[in-house]
Amino acid sequence: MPAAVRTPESESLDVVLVGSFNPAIFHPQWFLRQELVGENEADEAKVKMVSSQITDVQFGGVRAVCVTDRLTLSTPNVAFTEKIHDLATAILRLLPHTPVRACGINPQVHYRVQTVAYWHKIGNTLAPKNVIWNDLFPEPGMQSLTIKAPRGGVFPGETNVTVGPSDRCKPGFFVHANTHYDVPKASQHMGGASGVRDFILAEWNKACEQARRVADQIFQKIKTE
Amino acid sequence: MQPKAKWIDDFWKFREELEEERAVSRQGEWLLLPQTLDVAESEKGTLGRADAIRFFDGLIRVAEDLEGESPRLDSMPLAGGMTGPRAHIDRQSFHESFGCLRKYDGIIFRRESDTFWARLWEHPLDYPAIEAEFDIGELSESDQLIALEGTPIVWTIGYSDEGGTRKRQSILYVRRIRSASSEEVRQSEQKIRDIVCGIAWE
Repeated sequence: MPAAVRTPESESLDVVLVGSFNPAIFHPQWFLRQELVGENEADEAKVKMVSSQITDVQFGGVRAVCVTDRLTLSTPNVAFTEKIHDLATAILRLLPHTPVRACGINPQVHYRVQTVAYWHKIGNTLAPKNVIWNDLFPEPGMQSLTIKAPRGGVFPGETNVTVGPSDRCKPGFFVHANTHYDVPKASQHMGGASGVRDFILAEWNKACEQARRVADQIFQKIKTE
Repeated sequence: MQPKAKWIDDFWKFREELEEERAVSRQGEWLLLPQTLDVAESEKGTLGRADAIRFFDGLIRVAEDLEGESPRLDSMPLAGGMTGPRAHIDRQSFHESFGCLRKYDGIIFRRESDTFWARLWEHPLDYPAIEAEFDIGELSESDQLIALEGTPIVWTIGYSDEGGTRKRQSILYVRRIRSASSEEVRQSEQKIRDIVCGIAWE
């Protein structure tokens, strides 16, 4: 019997753009005027706040939160992953002079495992307790483990992966992957937006697969008894 | 429970300090936002709490994160029926989750009044691509207008959990991608010609 159903219980994604933004722009009607969303989506959008300092709106399965130094597009539903892609690249195309310094593509997956024993085995394999922790504390448990790895290629940066117990499915664990790209300093104020757009276009599929890839490796390498 | 007079004094002292700070610098600007009181909390007699957020060096931070810089406002009980300030912190507000079973990218290759057909693949190298027929009513009214031949779509099948109920879902997303300009088409054609010319045929 397999240790876990390999289909994630939950899968979400967010894209974070770091730079200087004008939050007041990002009203659902702006997205409609730019033909990035349909009339139904714009009319039925939930507008929590739109102001010069903070904007928080939801439409068509996507949430857009913008403060002056950060724009986050997120969805709890992977069916709208490409919508995030299309919105992020379109925003960067429509606002080419926005100074963008960095970008992160961040998928997150939650998996249920069938037994508590297997759940502990995953935690003990990723963060062994018998070397350090068992001598110091009673019943130590892994709460969060983050691995950082440099990334080369045309868009160098780093990949950060965090694994921890899931709060959505018990017993279960989550994997959060962050594919981070820093725009080179020389082009942050000139062409930062187009550089980040190119990064998204080039790295999108790989970045979106990172969390599942790590989870697959965990299931493959850590077997049930 | 903290005496009512004490927290009111603390609150106004905090407000005065904010005003002084604002007079000195606009860099740190506080926002005090309306609070929605939790009914369950109200019944317990501990009517919520007051937080503030601040834009500080471009970052949003709640008052309790700014130890040493401002009085803490948490744990201040509010009197019955009153609404106080509360920060809306940047957290996911979605209460749904979606597990993906299958996901297909594709292109609409035929459209009739009530139906459209799409060629779909799970991976770009899948051959042959599968073909599927969809009722146009599966799309929203505004998406129906753009579901024409050549339009890219994404078809996702999975299950969602909302409020403890699991539902099987089939979601069609009609991509709103800008058409290529004539210049982009020309550049692409040139690139293809360059690649073809670069192949050393035997």
